[in-house]
Amino acid sequence: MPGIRESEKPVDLNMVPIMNLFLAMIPFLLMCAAFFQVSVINASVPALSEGGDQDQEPKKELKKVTLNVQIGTNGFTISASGDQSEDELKKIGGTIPKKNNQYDFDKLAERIKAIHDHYPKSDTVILLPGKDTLYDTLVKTMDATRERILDKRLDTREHLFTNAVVSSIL
Amino acid sequence: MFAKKKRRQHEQLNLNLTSMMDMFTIILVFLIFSFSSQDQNLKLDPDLTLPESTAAIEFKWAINVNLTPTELRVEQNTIAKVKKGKFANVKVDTDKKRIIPLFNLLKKFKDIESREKVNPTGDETVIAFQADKNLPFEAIDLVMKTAAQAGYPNFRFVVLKK
Repeated sequence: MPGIRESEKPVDLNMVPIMNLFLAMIPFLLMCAAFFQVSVINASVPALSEGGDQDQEPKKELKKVTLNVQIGTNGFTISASGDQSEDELKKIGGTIPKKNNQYDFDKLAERIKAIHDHYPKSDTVILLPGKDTLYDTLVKTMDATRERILDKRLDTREHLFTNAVVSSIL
Repeated sequence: MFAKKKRRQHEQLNLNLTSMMDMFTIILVFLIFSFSSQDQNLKLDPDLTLPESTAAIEFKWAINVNLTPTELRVEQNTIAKVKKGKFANVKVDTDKKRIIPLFNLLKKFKDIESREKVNPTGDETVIAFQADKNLPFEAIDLVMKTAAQAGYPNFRFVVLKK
């Protein structure tokens, strides 16, 4: 072209090797891609334990309770066991009825948080679902009792009753 | 005129790859972000719908027990059939609350484990339990109790992250 020198001509980059690289990487990444994330919840079933030293009286732990959450057809029933007086343990308990025929997980989470604030050393919750309780309900109850998400974006959590024991109502 | 036509036929056709490169770059970035380094020991069962949870614990090596609406499987092997949330065509010890074939298989696993190192992490072996979210607790309880009696009282419930 007249007026344009050879050095000013646009240079065509050879894209073929880059394209080859991309074509090799894309199938590999597609195989390893996770389009949904899997997580796990730790749970256990009650186990018989051998008695400890019978001679020594166990130390009283007043900042710790073991919580029982019964998942019934009408809602949740909370009760507690621990070294506290019977009256004190009775006060912890209560019921959370269903709201619009749905389990009230928000209210349960609130109640659990209040109990944990009062007994901060507590970490064990015994979940007692009824035989017709759905597995999904059990998992949601575990979520409500295990932790509270403070900031979803930063993934900050407040741990509540992290040790979940699943048992059945006798 | 004929010579001009022939010359045009021999001209190299340059494809414009810029837009294709753009597309590939976007796909590549997306795939790099969704790249997962999760344990490949976990195989999600396509026959069941996992419940969603806020849990954020990563999966570790475990024995896979799957309870779908139609089958109970251990490491992809069918142990029992399930019909409407109840076990069918399988021996169940109602007194001890255990599914006999599941108990026998897990007991075998436990025996092997006591002889040789099976768990690559060296931790206590647990059960990775995948169950359909619409199954009743009655069926889940029976599987859990059977596993506990065979020597596996700890579980990891596999869930989908919310």
